[in-house]
Amino acid sequence: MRARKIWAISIVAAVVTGSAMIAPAAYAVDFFQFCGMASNTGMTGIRGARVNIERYNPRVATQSSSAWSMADNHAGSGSYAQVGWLELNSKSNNPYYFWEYADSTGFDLGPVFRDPVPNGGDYTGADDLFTVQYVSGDIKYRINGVVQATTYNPDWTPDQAEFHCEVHNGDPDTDPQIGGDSNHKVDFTNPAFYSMNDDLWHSFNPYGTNNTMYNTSEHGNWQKCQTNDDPKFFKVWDLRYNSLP
Amino acid sequence: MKGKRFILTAVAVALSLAVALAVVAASKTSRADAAPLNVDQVPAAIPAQGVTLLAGYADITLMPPTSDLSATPTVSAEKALTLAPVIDSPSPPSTVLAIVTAGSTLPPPGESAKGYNAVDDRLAWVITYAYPEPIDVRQGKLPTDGASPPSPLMRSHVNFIIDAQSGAFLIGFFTE
Repeated sequence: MRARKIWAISIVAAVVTGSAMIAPAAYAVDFFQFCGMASNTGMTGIRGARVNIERYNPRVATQSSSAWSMADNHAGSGSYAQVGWLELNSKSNNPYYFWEYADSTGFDLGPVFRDPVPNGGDYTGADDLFTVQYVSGDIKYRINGVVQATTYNPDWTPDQAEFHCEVHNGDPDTDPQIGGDSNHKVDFTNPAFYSMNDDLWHSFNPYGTNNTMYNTSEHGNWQKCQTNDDPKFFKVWDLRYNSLP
Repeated sequence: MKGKRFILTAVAVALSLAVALAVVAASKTSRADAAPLNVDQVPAAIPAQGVTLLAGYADITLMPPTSDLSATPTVSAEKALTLAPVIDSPSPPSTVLAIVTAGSTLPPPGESAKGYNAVDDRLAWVITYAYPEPIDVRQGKLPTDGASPPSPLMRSHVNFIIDAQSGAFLIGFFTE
């Protein structure tokens, strides 16, 4: 709904000003809202992504809120594989682990849920290691080292790593909570990419130039760690909240 | 002459029997060997050859429960409903008992299942909720460099599979 409204406003503005149609901003608030980081374009040899993400149980009145690690192909319209936790709007109010894959055309059959996040995803400082890795022509999705699924023979190869909190909605009044609140931020610790150049994992440097922070969300915010040796790297939270659900 | 006729009759009867047996055997074989049907929704009853959902993606195959003791659920359908997420729905959820295998969770042939969270031949309750209206379920990727985000992936049903012996949540997925 919101996307349509933005387009409608743009069209009206264009007519009123007599100018060409004004396109929405590249990161206009839309169904998909992200807050986190991605490896920089142009890096070579990236074949996997992994990060520890702190558990949280966000408020989700509609649609969903998630946090994940992703390996993707930057240029593809789809071309992504991700694993993380996902809170769905349900009376059970419990995030679940999930994985999802899209081929190079964007074809995708949606998130597949695995185990519930322990203790209802309560914020206790516990986190999980989410790994997506392209190995021998297949993609493996791992949670804490255990393989949850395999995608055989994907029609793309990764060249980018992403680590985000994400929410979906088009209604500003009921936007789900992005992971974290101002007193309980969701830590993304030790983000790393797997390189085909040496078959090793390499940490992203919070103060390096190989990554970029993004925030396309209406209510989310991120903050980098405060020291060079802080493995937490960055934190995410929803600006509307300061307490646990 | 009579003996010859008798032999011919016996051969004809034997041939007929053989053909009949072959037909029955072929019918049984084809049923047992038939690949599960690829379907878009969890059926109300699982057909004899089984069904596969999310074929080529998660490859979730549901087979009808067998008649042996191992196919007796110790967790009731009502209990299973309390162990799965509860969705706001205009209609009550459906439940169907099945032997469930999720191909995407299995190790490659010949490899040990150690280190895999595999769902393989599990007697389970398949719970299906219908949403009041389709929802966008895609968890997309960041649209960098001004690229358009992927189109929404609208789905009307969500399915949860609960182990009918242990009560454990095994896997969940969306269908059209």
